[in-house]
Amino acid sequence: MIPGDEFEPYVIAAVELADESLVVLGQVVDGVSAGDLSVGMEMELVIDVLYSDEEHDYLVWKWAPVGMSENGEQ
Amino acid sequence: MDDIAILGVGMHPWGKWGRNFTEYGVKAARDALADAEVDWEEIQFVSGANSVRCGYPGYVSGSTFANALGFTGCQLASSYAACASGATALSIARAQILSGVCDVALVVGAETTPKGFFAPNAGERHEDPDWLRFHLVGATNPTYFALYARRRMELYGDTPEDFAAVKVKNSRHGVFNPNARYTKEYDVDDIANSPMVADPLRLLEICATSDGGAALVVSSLEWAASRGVADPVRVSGISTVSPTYPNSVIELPYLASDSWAAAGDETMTFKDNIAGRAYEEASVSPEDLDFAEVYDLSSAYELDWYEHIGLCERGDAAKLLRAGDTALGGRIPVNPSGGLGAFGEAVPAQAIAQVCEMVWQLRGEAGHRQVEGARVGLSINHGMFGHGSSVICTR
Repeated sequence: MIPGDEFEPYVIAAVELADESLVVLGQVVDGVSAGDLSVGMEMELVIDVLYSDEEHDYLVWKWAPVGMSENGEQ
Repeated sequence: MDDIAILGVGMHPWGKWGRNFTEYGVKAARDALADAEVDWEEIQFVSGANSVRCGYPGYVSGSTFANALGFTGCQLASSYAACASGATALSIARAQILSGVCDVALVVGAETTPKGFFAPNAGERHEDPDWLRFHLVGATNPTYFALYARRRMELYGDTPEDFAAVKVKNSRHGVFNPNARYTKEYDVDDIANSPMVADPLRLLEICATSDGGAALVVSSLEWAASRGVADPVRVSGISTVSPTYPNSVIELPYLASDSWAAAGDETMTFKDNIAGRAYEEASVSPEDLDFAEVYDLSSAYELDWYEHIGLCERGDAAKLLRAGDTALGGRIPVNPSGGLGAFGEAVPAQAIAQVCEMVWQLRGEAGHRQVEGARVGLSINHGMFGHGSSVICTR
């Protein structure tokens, strides 16, 4: 498997669920780079589009820094 | 646990040769037979380590290799355990020997790999965690290596420079290995200038996918003695343990850890236990080791293993590295072969190749990469989905 020229880097985070005591991987929403993240940051789960075809948007969980949408950081 | 003897070892050099994997296995097997001074017709059992990337013959590797060497009616087994396949194949041969089913066996693994990252097997398989992690998250193998590296940086203060130093060390060892794929000595600038693949890991810090083959001829100690081999290298411990519940570290290819809410966070992790079982079987401890061959899937990952095999306390691995303890000539050389950094990975052959290196070291036949006076070696890795793999050899 070799990425093509159009390859866009993406960010993956391992997030600990405090109450459930487990860690879940997920992609981080667009607009966040690895450099924007640090261990210990509070994250929240959002529903985002994984990919779309002519009939559907296919949804997936992603992680977003808490407060990102309120602060308008993109 | 009783020991078995390793009478012969053989390898096909690692590379990107693009030929049928059977060729590599046969070359390695013939070299191991010649090294052992055992005829193929004398082999009573063939234990193949399977490949899932080489079509049907890869799933029935015991038969594939036996057929290529010339069917003799000997007994066969074929086993797959991802990167642990080679250790699993050896463990089956040991069980056959120690139970008296056979006296002498051949263990073989070989693979031809595609270019680039490993990808899931073809097809949409919604219940296969290995398909899901690629499809839903884009979590390639280097993603996991990078997350483990980040963990070290955060918990222990390791730096990208530490990780690069692992690759520099292993490249210096690999220069002396005729079976290695990469025999160039790299410096930290080479690594810093290589492309970023999975932050913080760069291209030269992530093991390549390689073609290669490795084989062992193993027997009971009695059979070895009957052939005049009084002091063979011995297999003194093999570990193929699973994780225990709850495993708080995410293993390839899963997207989540177990929950430790009910049981409390474990203190001994899966990878600690892999080594623990091998030490227990061999009745040796970390202080007894003269060297180790560990699975440096990434430069940073090698440091995890120092702690898992007990060379130091958790978090102190970079100190060992910085002190030169794990370089050739140091207190406890790690990956004198050059490791995966110099080889890349040929999955079913890799754990067997680790044993080949141990045998050369323990016989004093490792040339410029020889660990002086080596008597005890440990190899370790793990197959994804939770297959432990560790072998201790002694002389």
